[in-house]
Amino acid sequence: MIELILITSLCLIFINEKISNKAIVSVGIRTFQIVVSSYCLYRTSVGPSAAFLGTENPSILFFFIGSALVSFDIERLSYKRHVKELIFLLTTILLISSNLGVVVLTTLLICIVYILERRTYFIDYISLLIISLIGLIYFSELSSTVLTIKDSYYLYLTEVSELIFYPLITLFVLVEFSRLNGLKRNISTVLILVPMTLAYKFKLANNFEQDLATVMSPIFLFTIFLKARNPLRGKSLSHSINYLLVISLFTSFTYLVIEYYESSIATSLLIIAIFTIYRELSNLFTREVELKKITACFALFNLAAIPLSFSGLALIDILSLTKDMSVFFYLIVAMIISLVTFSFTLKSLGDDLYVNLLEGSNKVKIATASLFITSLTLIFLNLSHYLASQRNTKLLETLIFGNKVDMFASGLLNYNLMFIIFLIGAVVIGYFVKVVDNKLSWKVSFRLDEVLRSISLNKIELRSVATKESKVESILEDERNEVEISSFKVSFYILSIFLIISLIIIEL
Amino acid sequence: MIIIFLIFTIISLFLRTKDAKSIQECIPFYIVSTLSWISFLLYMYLDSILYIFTTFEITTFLIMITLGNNLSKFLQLKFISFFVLTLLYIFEGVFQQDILYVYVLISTFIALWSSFRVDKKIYFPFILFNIFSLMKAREYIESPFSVTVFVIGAIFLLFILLKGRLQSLYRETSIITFILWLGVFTFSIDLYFLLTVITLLLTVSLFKSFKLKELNKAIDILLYLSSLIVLIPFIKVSFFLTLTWLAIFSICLFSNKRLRDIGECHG
Repeated sequence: MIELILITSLCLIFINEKISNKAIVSVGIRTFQIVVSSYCLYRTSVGPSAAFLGTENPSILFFFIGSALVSFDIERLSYKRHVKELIFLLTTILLISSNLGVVVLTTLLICIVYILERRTYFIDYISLLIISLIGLIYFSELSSTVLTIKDSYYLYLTEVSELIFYPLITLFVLVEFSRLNGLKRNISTVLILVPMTLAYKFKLANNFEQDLATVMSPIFLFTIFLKARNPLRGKSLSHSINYLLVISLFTSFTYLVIEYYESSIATSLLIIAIFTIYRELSNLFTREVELKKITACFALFNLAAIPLSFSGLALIDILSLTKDMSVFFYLIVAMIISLVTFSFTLKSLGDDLYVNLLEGSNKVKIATASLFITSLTLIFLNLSHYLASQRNTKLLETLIFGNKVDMFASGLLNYNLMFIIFLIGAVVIGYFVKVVDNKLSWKVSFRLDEVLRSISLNKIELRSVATKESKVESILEDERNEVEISSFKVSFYILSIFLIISLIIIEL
Repeated sequence: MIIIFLIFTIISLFLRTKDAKSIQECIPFYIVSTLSWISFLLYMYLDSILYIFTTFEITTFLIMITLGNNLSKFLQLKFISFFVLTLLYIFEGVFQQDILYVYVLISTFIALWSSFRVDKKIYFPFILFNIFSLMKAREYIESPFSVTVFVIGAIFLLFILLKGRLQSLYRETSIITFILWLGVFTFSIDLYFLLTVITLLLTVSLFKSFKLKELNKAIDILLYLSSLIVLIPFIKVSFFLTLTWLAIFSICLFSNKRLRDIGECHG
């Protein structure tokens, strides 16, 4: 299986320069690779090298979805062909292997490949440092120990590494997630999938229960908070969508730190799927403005934490699962940030999103319907046991990992109660954003900017730039106030009616 | 292990012959390669430590006296190491392992800082021969004092990197390789990792001696990877020194790549 991927990849590298329509050939070969490898996994005849790399009962669906998402991601990058093939091969090995040493080594190699190809950012090297430390501790101490009856690694040799090992893994996930978003950086599926898989495969090494969540979640929240100024200003749609994506990833990260590994992987896979659909469609429809608007709407509504959207339901699920008060609080904060971002985006860019469906072309109607069905399917795949029957509870998770979801797990508050509080919260925040003056929000974003600049090291250089920017933006601000935003009102009414209807349906 | 050495010999012969204007130029290189291979084979069939020592000394002297540059320094160091060996008879076998360790230390130093008159690329087969000898010596010598030496060497290396403002790993290649060789010599490393680290170190010296322009960029990352493998056993000795080492190395990698990016933008 690995041999087959290797040979076809080599073919692709060699014929790449000689063919005219590169895109079709590479997509064809990639599809062939994924389909044949899934078939090999299904028939459990994986071949010598895959057996050497340790594949025992890999999950076929996980491999299929993961590698498909990764291959969408790699084709978009502007790397050389052989680097793309290398990344694909390494992620394939990572997804199917159950040998922990192989997992650590492949993660390290993927990190290094990324570092060699990307522009230089300091955070890349921090993640390299962390993953190499993980590898060192694993190979020096863990690789010689055995699993105990309690299904956890019991035999650590030094106290330091016992304390440090699992927090390092979560820190690695955190750093990789914060590598995603920033100045001129691309959001990459590999960076989400690889650390998640690593953490999932090392789940038995976790000696910490709830303490880890209280420490790790605020750091993630802080990194989210650092980037809050862009969506407040409502600069562009893609900014807000990226920001909402990072907030939804906070949900799956919290699943990870409160030890629901399978849920975290299923949720992040679906989040990546939503984002990939948005990115690919908006690349596809560069000409048609209306279709672009619809895909943006799709991404916004699914990634924002409004009730009955994908991330909203995941957030409510995790709120009802957590037993820790502090984690509960962080999740509420994340929810508020997400809702505020969403409503600010609608407020400032609502006009750009307006599409008249009834007068649109057939293409627009079909796209809307199919995206609506897609989002319903995505929500259906991740329903909690309060909303679905026993067979359909967390469908994707059950399909991938084949485990039974615990029906009686519950945390501080009940799911239904959470849902109602969430609804009321969403309405209140929406109303607040509607009422609040544009000037105030701009002021807040400026204050945030100033605070961040005073923290950052090279503040002297930036200060001169800041004064220039504020002049330009004050002019812009005046212009913006003159424009009356009408479609926001309409969308707000639609949202509230939608919420009321959904409340009625649930209560029935 | 012999396969790795064979592959590297073939690659080096190929590279040397490709660069040469005429075949006469390469003859010293061929001779040194043949000599090192003869001593490999002798190592494999000799089992007494005295014979192995003699083979090592004869080959080193042959290569260095005929082709070496800066002979006075070489002879000084060599006689210091012989003086250390005479201590074996003075202490009558009390500090046997430690004395042999110091001898290996000096020989490694000689190997890494040697230079050649006729053809600078002879450095590579000489290094190949020395690594093989080191691997052979690894089977016999085991000194408790060696870990301390490694720690001191590591601190010294990190100090040098800090003094150079964390700029470049490439500039300090010889010191880093020296410390890494010591690490390979000192610690017991898993077989696969041992083979990998030898391959990496040989690749570094191959790139360094043949000055392949495109691949010189990769030296930094190769040094980082090989240091990772050497640090696997070392992390049990001192966790925080390992952490510092990794942190300093990754900052060096960062600033190096940064400088290169800026250079590419301007040039």
